[in-house]
Amino acid sequence: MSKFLDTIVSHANQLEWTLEKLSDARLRLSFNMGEGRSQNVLISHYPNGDEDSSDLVEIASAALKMDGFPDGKLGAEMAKKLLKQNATTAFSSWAIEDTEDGPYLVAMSGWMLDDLDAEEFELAALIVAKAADEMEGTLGIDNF
Amino acid sequence: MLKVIKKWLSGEDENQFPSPFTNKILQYCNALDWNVSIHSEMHITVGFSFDDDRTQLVHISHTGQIAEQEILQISSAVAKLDDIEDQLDQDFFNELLKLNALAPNYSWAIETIDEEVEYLVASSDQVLDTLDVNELAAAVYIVAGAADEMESRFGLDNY
Repeated sequence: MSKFLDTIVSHANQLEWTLEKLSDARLRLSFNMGEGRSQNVLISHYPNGDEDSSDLVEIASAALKMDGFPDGKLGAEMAKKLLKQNATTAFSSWAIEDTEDGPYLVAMSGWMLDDLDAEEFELAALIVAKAADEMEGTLGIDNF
Repeated sequence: MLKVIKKWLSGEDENQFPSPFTNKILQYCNALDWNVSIHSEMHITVGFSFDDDRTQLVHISHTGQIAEQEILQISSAVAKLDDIEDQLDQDFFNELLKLNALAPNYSWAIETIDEEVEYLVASSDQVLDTLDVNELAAAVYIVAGAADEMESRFGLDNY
């Protein structure tokens, strides 16, 4: 197993979380958020390519598929509001992630793989899940 | 001991706001030979000079607790939004959100100071207890570099 898989599996086992392996570079957690709601969190590996530097781990949860938005963009007021939330919410930032399926609004937390311990992994996963689920809730959806 | 006595005699105290946060960060900053200012038990700044005479100030703040973990925010300002108002539009805000997906170890945020003044900042959060000197250095350098690069885009070097 790669260091990424070793690390994340080890942390998940310590937390008694069940991981689903989507690929060698992507894992998924599913959380029961209560009140019949659920939230998926993706853990993705981004190799650094430099042996002297740590690889990156992205812990993210999707809130909204943005294919219905003109030009795939949020309105200025909404985008600014999310940027303001980024300053007050630790370990979770709003981001627009471009994928093959189009852009998604995600709550995201980024870490250096070498430095990510189990407590940080737990915090980050729960915080992004909560942020994304709350955003979905305000939109009246539960798609992710 | 002699160094401590000399400081006592001179009235100097390297850390006038001792706390677990300031003690740890000051220790790391000294190990990194950084120019540090301790403003309170919750707030430290570190100043950097880049090769092209540009400078950048990084704020290291103890912002509270989550799940019994003490949290740090490491941030560096780009500009007051008022100073770049003519460039703040839908495209720019969306660009920042897209950049957040590409730079996972820091993020762009709009921080409000004193309930009034809004700043564009590059920001990174850390856990105090598990923070080591290399993590501090990496986070500080990343936000400083990102903020300075964004400042230069606006033709500024105020922070």
